Amino acid sequence: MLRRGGTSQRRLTTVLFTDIVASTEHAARLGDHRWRDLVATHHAIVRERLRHFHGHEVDTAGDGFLTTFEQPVAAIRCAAAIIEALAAIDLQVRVGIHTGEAEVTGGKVSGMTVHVASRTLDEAAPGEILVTSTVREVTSGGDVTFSDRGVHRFKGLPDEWHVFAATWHPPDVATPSAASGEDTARRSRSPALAVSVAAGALALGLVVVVAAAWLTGGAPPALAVVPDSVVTIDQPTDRLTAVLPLSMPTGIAADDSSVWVLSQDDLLTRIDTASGAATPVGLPGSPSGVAAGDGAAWVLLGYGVAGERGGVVLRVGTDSQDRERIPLEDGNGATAIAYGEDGAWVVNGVYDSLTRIDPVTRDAVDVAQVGWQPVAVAAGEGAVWIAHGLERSLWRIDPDTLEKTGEATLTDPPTAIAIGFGRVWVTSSTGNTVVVIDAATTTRLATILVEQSPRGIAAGADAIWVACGRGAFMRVDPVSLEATTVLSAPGPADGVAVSGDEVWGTVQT
Amino acid sequence: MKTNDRWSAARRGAGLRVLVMVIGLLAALPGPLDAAAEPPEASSPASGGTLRVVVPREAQEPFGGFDERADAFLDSQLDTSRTTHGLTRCCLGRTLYSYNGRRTAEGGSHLQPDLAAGPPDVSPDGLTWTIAIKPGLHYGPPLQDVEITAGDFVRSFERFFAPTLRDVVFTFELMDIEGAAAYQAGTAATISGLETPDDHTLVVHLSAPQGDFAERLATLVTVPIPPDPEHPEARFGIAEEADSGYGRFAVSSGPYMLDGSASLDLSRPVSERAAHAGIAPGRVTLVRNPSWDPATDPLRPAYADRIEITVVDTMDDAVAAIDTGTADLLWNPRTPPTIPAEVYEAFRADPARGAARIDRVAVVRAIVMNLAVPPFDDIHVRKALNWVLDKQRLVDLQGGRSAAQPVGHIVPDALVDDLLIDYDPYATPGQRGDLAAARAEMARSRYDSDGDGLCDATVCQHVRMVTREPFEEAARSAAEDFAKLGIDLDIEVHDINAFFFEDTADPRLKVPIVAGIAWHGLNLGASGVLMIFDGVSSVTTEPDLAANVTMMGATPQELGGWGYDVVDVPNVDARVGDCVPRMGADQLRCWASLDQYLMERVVPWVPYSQDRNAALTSPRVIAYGYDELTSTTSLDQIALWE
Repeated sequence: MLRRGGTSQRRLTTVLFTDIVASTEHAARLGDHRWRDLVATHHAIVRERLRHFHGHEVDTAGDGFLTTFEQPVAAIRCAAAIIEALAAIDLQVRVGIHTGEAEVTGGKVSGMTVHVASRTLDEAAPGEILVTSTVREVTSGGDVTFSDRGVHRFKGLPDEWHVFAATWHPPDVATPSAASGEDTARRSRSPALAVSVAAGALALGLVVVVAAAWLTGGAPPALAVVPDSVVTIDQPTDRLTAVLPLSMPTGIAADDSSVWVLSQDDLLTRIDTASGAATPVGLPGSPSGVAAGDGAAWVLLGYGVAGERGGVVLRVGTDSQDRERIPLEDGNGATAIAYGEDGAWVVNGVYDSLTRIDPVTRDAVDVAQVGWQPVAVAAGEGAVWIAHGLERSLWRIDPDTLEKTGEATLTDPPTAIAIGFGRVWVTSSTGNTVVVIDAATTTRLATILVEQSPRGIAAGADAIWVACGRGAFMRVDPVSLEATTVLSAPGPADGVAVSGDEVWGTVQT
Repeated sequence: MKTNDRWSAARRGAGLRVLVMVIGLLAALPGPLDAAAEPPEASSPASGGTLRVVVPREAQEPFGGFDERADAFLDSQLDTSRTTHGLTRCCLGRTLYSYNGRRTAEGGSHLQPDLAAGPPDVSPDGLTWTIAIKPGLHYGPPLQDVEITAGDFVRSFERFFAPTLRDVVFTFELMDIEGAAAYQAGTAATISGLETPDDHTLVVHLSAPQGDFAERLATLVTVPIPPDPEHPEARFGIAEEADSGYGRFAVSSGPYMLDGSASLDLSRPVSERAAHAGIAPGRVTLVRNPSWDPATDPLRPAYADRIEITVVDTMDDAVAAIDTGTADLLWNPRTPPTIPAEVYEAFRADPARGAARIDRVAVVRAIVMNLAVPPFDDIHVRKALNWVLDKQRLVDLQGGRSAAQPVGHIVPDALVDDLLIDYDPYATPGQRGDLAAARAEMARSRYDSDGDGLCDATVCQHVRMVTREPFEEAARSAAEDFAKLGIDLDIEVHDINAFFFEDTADPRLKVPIVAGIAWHGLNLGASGVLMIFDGVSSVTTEPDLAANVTMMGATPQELGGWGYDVVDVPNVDARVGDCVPRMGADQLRCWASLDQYLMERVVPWVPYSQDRNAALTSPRVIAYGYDELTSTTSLDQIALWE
């Protein structure tokens, strides 16, 4: 409760400090660039958790945060969530918490309470949440337990301080042990998804909308698609199988083992398709596209990167610390990226260029001029395909020579390209069409009217999948070319990707 | 000064629209240097109390500042000043769509339904927008029994487009509503593109797809105007016959209302109607609107029970009010500097006095070149100017870090949701300019015959640079930098009317380079900035509104007709046309790419600073919000010690 006293404004507040364990060693091991990226991820995760638990960031000092909370229990829960989330990127922090009166001026906090919290942090072991006895006494909520860590004298502070290690026991989102052993492979995967995504939920503030009844062997209840989420559709059955809330998702790409999702708040999230574990990675700039290949995500940062003159491609492996920056000659303005045909391919809508990145040397090795304002690129059927926004054309490019070997005219401004079933599929969000082009001859075969503002597109096992801006995921039969809405969404569907039997899509607000 | 006087102060009525657009006293962004603001929870115990705001009279300016005496004050259809915009969004008038009144990083650039029940339903061709209105919402007293219905928005649009107001409002962003032009011209009795099939459904037909049309509905134009219970036939409801002064007796739809609203006698003719007691010379008082239900409004926490705005004579008086504890917020909704740099620094150095807060304002200032006048018809010259300019010095001249920050591109970051926040293709150490890079670029120009990095053509001598007050010092600073490349500028300082209605409006004058232009949008979409460059005059049939001194998009025929020797200039019409129909994030990315294209392939300007807003709060303030949309403090988001 707020109160006012005398000339200085004091309030009862809970102060929480965090500090990255062995940061110097990490920095030395990773080098400046990668360490900076890792710290950016750390900051993004901590801030996300702070928002979730209503904490207030007061300051960052190098590798740590000074934060305040209205309620001590919220601070402990937040600390636990931060520790668990950072574990996903192999970072460990220690946490110190104290509750007391502090001077709060503007956004700043000062006073003895801050010093006590700081000294408590000094005593905390890696991965530990150490709190003072004051915190223990005023903490309510049965989901937190305390272990005695003894009485300490804090340097520069009077009195002795009794401290405790706090542990949070979050309510179960799902209980994997309850899954039926008779489930099919498909269903036996679901609990794992739920649990690991619950871990991801801790990482990113996500909540898995998977009903407990299903996990305990009951009938699967209906799932609800929510805005700002990633959805999973089972291809054989067209059934929605998971919804993963994720802040402001945009691009998406997938390979056999990973689904990679971009967020507008400069995060890349890797979802392990086997376990469902979600791991966030902070990005050093705003992403403009993502592709999957060679066991990695190739993230296009075409809107500018702090400290860089031009844009870059950031290659991120499944081990989130496996990162590499690949500078692009025409980096700024790069609009789309694709992987395949022995390269990662970047088109630039400002410089009207195509760049090939060698997947082995990871250098940008070839650059070619293409048509007017390339907006989309795909690789497959022995070629690289580029759709031009203003020129309204699709170019077929030889991946070895970078020469144009074919061209098709588009009627509407293109949005995205997919390759599949011997054909090239081009969406137009403003034209409400999917154009079908023969990959061998570049002959235009058909134009499918999809009055849902089609954006993202991907080729699946037996269908083409389309994400639509008017809130729908559609499947297009590659033979009959019939388009059917499989899933309606409460917000724009922006991206879609296919991994094995599953279709993954992003839903925005 | 009366509103009409204020409008007529411009030589031509339409002129103010240009001012509104290019001077841009609206909008703002998160402040990277600011102390972290405390986002209070909706259920915060901090609700209550009286928020005491002080505004210094001496710091105001002719356009856009705080003037409670002006007839346009709080008139949601007429006045786009930061004062009216800020007070309306936070407190007095909800709109169909809006934002949460916070910074971009706190979701402040994400459009949300306000009086609309949800996102619009858009037809596949993008031409028909169907908007459901939240049922059961009522106006504040004295119309607490009147429900807000779809027809009230039609009333607002029709007042906005009224032929009698056409010279004082800036309508181009909404001109694609079918029939709006005919109605505004007086050739149609109604706007044919507006329908209300029932009380809770508004259907808008557009003549061309506008992907960000919902963003455009977040402007104050869509603050509903209630019907006049005494005269239900009145087209403009209680605003009937009130081309000016309506804001003084407007009825609230927001969490607050002007004190004394309940006493408004609507039975009296407009000319005899007394203003709310809440508006008095030197004082504006807001109290809670009893009709407002927080359950229907997630965008406004409305912490304080009462907001008292007091106008004092001087900045010193205003600062003293903070120091002595008689005011909680020093509010100065005008062009920066909003508080003197020394005051800002003094508060930063002594937190016991209170908090000094700065935030980005979505206004970008630039030096703009005419691409049809040599040597600026050469892109290498234009790029060289970007490399050589000492942007930090211009920021210092503007008032230092509390007034501005260096910038690397043209669209204010808030308008593209921070996508381009790290984008600066001509970044130099300390933003002080890079002479070596500039000369290397100049050496590639056809106007540097010997390749020494200096322009040696006669067209680089005595080049006219036109500016206006208060930009003369900035112009001279830039000229000093450009001279290092052999470009010799003759600076002409013109008065504001000549600057906006002749120099930058009449292509026949062939002004080579201009200092004193700033860009921003009227909402949080980038279209308001970039659509302007869709041809010199294609935005409107009135060339003086285009404010496109670059000549970008002009046809050879147009250029020849205006007497230019250069008849081939870059054109981004198709790129603009590509972006406009796109929706949501799709459009956002498109505008961001166009900004990059302009910065790297066209380079018609040297953007150098983005404005900042500074505010002071007393130690009594425990929560503070900054509104991205209106570029000013969100008064509804300020919480106080009990």
